[in-house]
Amino acid sequence: MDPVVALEIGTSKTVVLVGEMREDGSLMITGKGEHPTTGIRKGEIIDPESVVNGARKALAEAESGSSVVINELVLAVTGGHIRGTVHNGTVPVGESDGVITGGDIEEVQELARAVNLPEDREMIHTINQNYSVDDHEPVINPEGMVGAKLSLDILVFHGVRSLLLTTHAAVGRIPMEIQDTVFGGLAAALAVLTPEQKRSGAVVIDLGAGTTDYIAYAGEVVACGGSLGVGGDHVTNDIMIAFNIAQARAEKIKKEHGRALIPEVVDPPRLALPAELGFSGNVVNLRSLHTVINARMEETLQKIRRRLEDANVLTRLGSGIYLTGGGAHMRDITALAESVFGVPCFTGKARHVLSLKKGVDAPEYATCCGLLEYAFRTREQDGERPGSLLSSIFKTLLGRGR
Amino acid sequence: MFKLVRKDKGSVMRRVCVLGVGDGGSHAVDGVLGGNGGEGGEGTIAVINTDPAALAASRAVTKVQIGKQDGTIAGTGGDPLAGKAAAECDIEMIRGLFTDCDALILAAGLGGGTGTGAAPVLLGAARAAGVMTVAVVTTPFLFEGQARRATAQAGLQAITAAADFVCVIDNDSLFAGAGAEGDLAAAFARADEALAGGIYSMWLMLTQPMLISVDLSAFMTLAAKGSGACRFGFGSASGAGRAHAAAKAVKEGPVFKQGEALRASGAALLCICGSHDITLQEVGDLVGEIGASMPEDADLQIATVINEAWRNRIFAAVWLADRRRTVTPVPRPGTRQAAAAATPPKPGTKPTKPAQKELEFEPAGTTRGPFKNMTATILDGEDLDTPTYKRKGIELEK
Repeated sequence: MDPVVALEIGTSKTVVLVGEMREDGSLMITGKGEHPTTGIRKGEIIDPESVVNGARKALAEAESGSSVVINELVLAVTGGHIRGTVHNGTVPVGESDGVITGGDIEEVQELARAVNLPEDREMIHTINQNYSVDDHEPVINPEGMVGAKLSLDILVFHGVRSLLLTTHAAVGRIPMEIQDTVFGGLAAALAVLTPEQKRSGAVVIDLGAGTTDYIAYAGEVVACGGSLGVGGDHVTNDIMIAFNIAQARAEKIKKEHGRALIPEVVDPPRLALPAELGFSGNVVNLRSLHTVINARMEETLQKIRRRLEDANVLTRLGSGIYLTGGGAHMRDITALAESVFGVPCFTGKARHVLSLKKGVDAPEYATCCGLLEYAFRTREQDGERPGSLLSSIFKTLLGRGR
Repeated sequence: MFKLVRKDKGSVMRRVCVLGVGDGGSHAVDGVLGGNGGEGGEGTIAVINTDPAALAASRAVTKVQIGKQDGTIAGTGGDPLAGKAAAECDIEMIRGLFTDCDALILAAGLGGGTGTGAAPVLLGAARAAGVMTVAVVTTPFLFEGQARRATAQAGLQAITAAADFVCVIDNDSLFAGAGAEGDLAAAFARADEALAGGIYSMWLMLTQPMLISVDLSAFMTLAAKGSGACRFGFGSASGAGRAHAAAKAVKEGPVFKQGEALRASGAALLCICGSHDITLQEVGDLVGEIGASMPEDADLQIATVINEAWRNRIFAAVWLADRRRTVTPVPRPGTRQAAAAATPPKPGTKPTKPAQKELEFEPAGTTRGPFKNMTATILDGEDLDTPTYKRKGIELEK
């Protein structure tokens, strides 16, 4: 199949992956580009120009590595403003004998999707959850069932329109066409979870630099999801304030020495930061460092726990919780997550990914791999239709291979 | 200890314009119109906002959208400069509101874009039209973040400079001692209620016939005795023993720090609102109780407004001149200011700068770091941009 390009403009880095779907269903990453992002805070663009420049560099690297000319891509969006809410539609069953037909299902889908969001918000996805017939137990496919009314719950992901449009405008300035926009948390879940895990119930938490995104599958459907405007940058900022050191230094000691749990014995107890030009040197108490990190990360996970409880999914997680994103590298983070959620927690990595590039199965690439996965799935569903957007895009993309 | 100010009964009733600016101001004006029935006062009631949606929701009769020409079409996004620009751009349209009035009561919630930015411009325009100007403003809750507090602080300075009289309601103080239990919506509703109470009682005082009356100059005098801005607090009660209960609510309420603010203040203005069923005994009790909780040499002026809307009820509004600045940023533990405040200066060393001046610059940058210009991440009533260990008061080993 034709290659697909994924772009994630994260708060700390911009990642581009070029992927092809192989016949056995595994994803082959043929190109990768990466560049540190500047101009984004908490997932939101504050300096479009430097965001565009960073994305251009990442794209150029991916192009030269994969011998593909890129002019179209699938884009991940995130930000604390993105929310998943459940909406419901109900229609009377049309036929007199009460047998539910495809027509009824289409009708209820249309009704449920006609969501009336606040003026400033824009829909990103609608995901069907469950149908129910005459308020009985939820079913996945009601076709052929008998009843008087048919309802459908859908999960709608939406965000602040101006912020989403700012991201779109930035990508347009690269210039690139956007073939699809996907919520980053959803993409990470697509890459990480197997169908069995989704069936038995699982959560993916993407610990990004600017935001923490989550998606929960329970009862075979996406039960809830969303994004908190808190991430690794907050951990770094806390360290900066606690020890009165500069951002780059705080980031470094976070990565090299930070722990999400406070060990009983901290050895060595202190870390000396040697003096440099413009920095008079400092000594960091490592127990305090772990305390600062632990307080922040536990709080963030507790906030997600509350949301999972509100959606009634915490008790329905047969397959546990998977952590992706750069934050998944934090030492002891899975142990902390287990103590917060009380279910097994793992580092989430994109499955079925073969790569010519090293390290693409690391947790921070899960979102981008998921974007590719999403693009191929939507292509399977509607890409065959003649003249569809996707097929026309990829004709041009392939024709210009270098 | 207190004196009565007499007013000539035959004088022409003042025309007062009550103006809500921004979202907080609009809510307060709605509160005046709704909660108190909006009865009694004379004059124009208007709201001004940059956000047409918020304007549409307001109950006020006169609604003015500003900033349209300026390109501000859906709010300022919390930027006071945008609010200021919007007001300056449409100032001619606004001047019309002031042509037919004697006094302006402007209400705004500080910390956002429209109220903070536009209010000083509007006050300036009103003053230029020869209108007495009174600003009743709220300062943000602590949980709204340092950035909003800093914005509010700057806005308050501009407003104090532009208005004849400023009354400040510190939102946070409404909840001091109430614990962390209250929900967010209730907190904002309470703040709007306090703001509405402040405006309503002032509006009545300026427009209604009074048994014992004061006028605007009494407010000016009061302001001059304090630091330029006043605190506002109120208590309301009905039924038997209502005078005592209302006084108790004022004295022991969080706004006046359980009476601490009263004890520290040198001057206050007490307005007692009630219907014709109010007795001399009740007025005497109220004045006596409030007076007793203030220093002996304090200057307490009183006024009473009679309106049938207050049947069975007593509403006691108190404006208090602070002896110190009303809104002083509290240094956060661990910052340089806190350390400086804690250690007494070494003998022989001369303080180089007045401490007050330094305080005004700092709070925004100290804990928010790279997030200082961003929308604060507020979840469950907490500003998540502030380090968790600080919010939870976790001690760090040195």
